[in-house]
Amino acid sequence: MSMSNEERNLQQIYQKNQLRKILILIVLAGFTFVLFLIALMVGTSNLSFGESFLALFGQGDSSSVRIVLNIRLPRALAGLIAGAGLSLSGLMMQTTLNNTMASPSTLGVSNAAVLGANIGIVLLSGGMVDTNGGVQWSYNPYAISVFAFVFALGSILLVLALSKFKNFSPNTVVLVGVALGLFFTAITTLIQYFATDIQLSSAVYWTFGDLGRAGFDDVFIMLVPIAISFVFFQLFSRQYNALLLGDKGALSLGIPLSLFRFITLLLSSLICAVCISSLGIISFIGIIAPHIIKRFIGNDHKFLIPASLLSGSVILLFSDILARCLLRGTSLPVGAITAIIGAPFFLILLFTGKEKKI
Amino acid sequence: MLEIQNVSFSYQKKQRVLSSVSLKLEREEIGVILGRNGSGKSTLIQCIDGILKPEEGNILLDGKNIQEMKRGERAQRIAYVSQDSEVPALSVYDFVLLGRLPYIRFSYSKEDHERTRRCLERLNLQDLAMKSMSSISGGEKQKAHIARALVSDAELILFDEPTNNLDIHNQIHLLEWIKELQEKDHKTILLIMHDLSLSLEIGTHFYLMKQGKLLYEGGKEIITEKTIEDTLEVHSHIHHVDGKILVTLGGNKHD
Repeated sequence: MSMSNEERNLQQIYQKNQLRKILILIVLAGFTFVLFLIALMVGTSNLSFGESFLALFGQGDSSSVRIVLNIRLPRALAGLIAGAGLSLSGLMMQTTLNNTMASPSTLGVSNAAVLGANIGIVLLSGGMVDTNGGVQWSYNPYAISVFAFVFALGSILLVLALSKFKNFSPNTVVLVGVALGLFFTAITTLIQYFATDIQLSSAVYWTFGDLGRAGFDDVFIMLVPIAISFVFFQLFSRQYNALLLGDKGALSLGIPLSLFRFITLLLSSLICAVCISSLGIISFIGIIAPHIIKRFIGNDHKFLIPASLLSGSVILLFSDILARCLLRGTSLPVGAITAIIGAPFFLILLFTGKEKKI
Repeated sequence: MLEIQNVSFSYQKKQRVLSSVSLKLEREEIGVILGRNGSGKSTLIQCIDGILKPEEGNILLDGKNIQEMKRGERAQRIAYVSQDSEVPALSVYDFVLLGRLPYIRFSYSKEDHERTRRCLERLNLQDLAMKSMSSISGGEKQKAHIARALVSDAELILFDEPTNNLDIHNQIHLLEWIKELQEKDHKTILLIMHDLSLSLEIGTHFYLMKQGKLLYEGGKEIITEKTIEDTLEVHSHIHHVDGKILVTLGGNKHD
């Protein structure tokens, strides 16, 4: 059938719109790549850009090669992957629960991870060492990560099991998450109350999200669930658009809503659990990154999912670069930096927002 | 086309919202459900669309029980325009394209896009195609809903109070569109409405509900002062003017 002029016109407008979104993705990918390179070049040791760049290819003296490949590379990869994962999981929680404020902390996942880590530190860490000018480090970080992970995952299973009674209604999931989160925090407080000074400082230090903690093994552990979830989310991106119509609208279009919600929340929480247990708490990325990028690319999940992924990486890499450059010779906890730069930026966007781009 | 047999539903135990409702709607008719708030109209429509599952009874579409259909098939055959449909921050184009969702697994085909374009053009929405659903007017939103129902190719389209929040101009236009869906596209339509005169203007078959029960069913002739008083609990006067039926309302039944 031949197309009318208007139809052809509409097709052009639509294609132009899609092209604009693809361009945004390309620009974001470029940004991510540049920030990743910068993350490899900067740090507390005084390597020049040139030295860092050569070290990346195994050139130069052995200590700079070691610093770049063994310390900076896993750190930058952790930023790239955890940023992407946290943003992706925040976006998907918001979409499936139809709640713009849904995040690992509203669902109690972060609180559960902190509780798990505290139990790991207080009950399992036999030995403590004093390094880095008074900072307490646990000898047994592996146990801490495992505990944080198990608790985070256990908590979301509990949230989902309780929400099942109400057919996974979004409000129920959020309220159950908030209630359990407060409960976990209360237990954490009790554990900390009875902990020794050293255990306490170690527990508090753990909660500061820090990319420097990650080794290549952590990077791999984070990458696997994030990659699998991303493929799943992207495959069903059209169905996620239907969730924006609300429960009735989605059901009417034939979406198996409860199952969809269950799988999505499980995958998103799994991502949070691996990121938090490897790196500590890095809050806010799950909320700000998707919200910021929605303003530029709209709500079509076909583009929103990859865009959120990239914008999370951009924010976390940028924050970590700042964390390492702000004070000479020391690096600040990146979890604080993400919120300090993220919150004002987010507010500015919120109050100066023009009509949303679609 | 649509046959409902003894359908009952309750949200909470012991509180029946629908009790043993049976009705029929023939192909290419426009059925209008009338009744007071809380009479079970929306619940009935949601049962027909498969959003709610009736406790008892069967809902048959061309003799086939909708509970036994796959979700996708049901969504292909029945479209639903809800009263409180959330307005997503999608473009009008992407919103209308969602009507093709029951036909796809992962991505839309060229044909899905072609149909979307044709529907947008037909409803004169092409200039708004890239605008956000949340930024267009109430009348335009309803048109986008109609476009979505149309693009889905569903044979039965359910409307839950479509004229809500529309000015009179848009109400009339909307009803013209709905009529066109029936006459030109041969769709069967079931509507929930409150305005009696507009209902009589558009409807071919009527259902009067009260407290979860269907009290009267039939053509225009069942809309009488008595049936209105029985179900809507208001006094009314029916006038015949130039072949049209007008209903004027006056006072509550208990006044």
